[in-house]
Amino acid sequence: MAVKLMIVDDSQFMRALLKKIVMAEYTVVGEATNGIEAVKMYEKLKPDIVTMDVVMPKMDGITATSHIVKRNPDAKVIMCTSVGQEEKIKKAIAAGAKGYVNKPFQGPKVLQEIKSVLTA
Amino acid sequence: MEGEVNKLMQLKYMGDVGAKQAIEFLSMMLDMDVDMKIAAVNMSSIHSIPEVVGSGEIVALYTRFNGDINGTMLLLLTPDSALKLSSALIGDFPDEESEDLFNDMQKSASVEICNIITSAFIDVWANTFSIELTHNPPEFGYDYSDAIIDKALGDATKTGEFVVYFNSTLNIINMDINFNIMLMPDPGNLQTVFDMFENIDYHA
Repeated sequence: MAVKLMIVDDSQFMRALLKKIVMAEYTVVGEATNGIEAVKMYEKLKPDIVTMDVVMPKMDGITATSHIVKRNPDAKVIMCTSVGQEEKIKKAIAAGAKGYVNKPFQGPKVLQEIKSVLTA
Repeated sequence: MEGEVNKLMQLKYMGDVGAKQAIEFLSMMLDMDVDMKIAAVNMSSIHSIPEVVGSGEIVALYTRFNGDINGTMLLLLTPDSALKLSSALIGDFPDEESEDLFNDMQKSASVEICNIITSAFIDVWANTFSIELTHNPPEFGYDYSDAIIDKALGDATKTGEFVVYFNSTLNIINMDINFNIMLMPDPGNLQTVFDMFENIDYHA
């Protein structure tokens, strides 16, 4: 059965780029543009895995992850952070994120992290 | 005079290192050969910006940076250059109709370029001076230069002092795209930068 992936990023370009990276192996079931949308969309779609941007309008990715994981303790969320944001990675892990990838994205690393979180 | 030249050389050095970092980030993200060069650095009064960029329509990508140094960073380029740049990035992504010169995907791609170049420059400054610096998500503007500079810099145009220009070229897919990077520290912050240069131990 196809693995359902949800992309959360306020940048249309970054969503398209991520989709291009993952589409050969995963089914992108939803795209959210901020944290509030992500929390609602997660409950509706129940994806197998989520890629979550950190800096977004309305609600940031760390807060959204915290909300999602509180309601769904098994939720698999991978944070997408810019290089040099180690503090944010620590906060995201504390909020329940299971992994992270650095921006700018490198396709193989993104796929490797998704696979590793899915099989953990 | 010698002091001024030294300051410009130090700023050029920071620009060169920032460009090198930006090349690394952009090549990683785009999986393409990318080159970026800083041709020259100049420092001038903030009121000279319209003389540098002209009075026609321009594209501005701008963001605030905050921390131990505060200010605004702008990338200014002609509409034609912005279209070439965004098209190079978008590649085979689905095209979308728009009544405006720039569609949402083109704006988003341009903003991401600004994000990467700003991150590269800010990382270099933060690492060189061992300081904390963060930046906000950049914004896209397309308008006449006076209007856009007012919008991008806000109150800083009334209170700001100096602007540092990095005349830059980005080469993607054999296209040379010229643009200006403008770093405009908030009042008093440029002196903080020069004081920090004094304290760098280049032998460490």
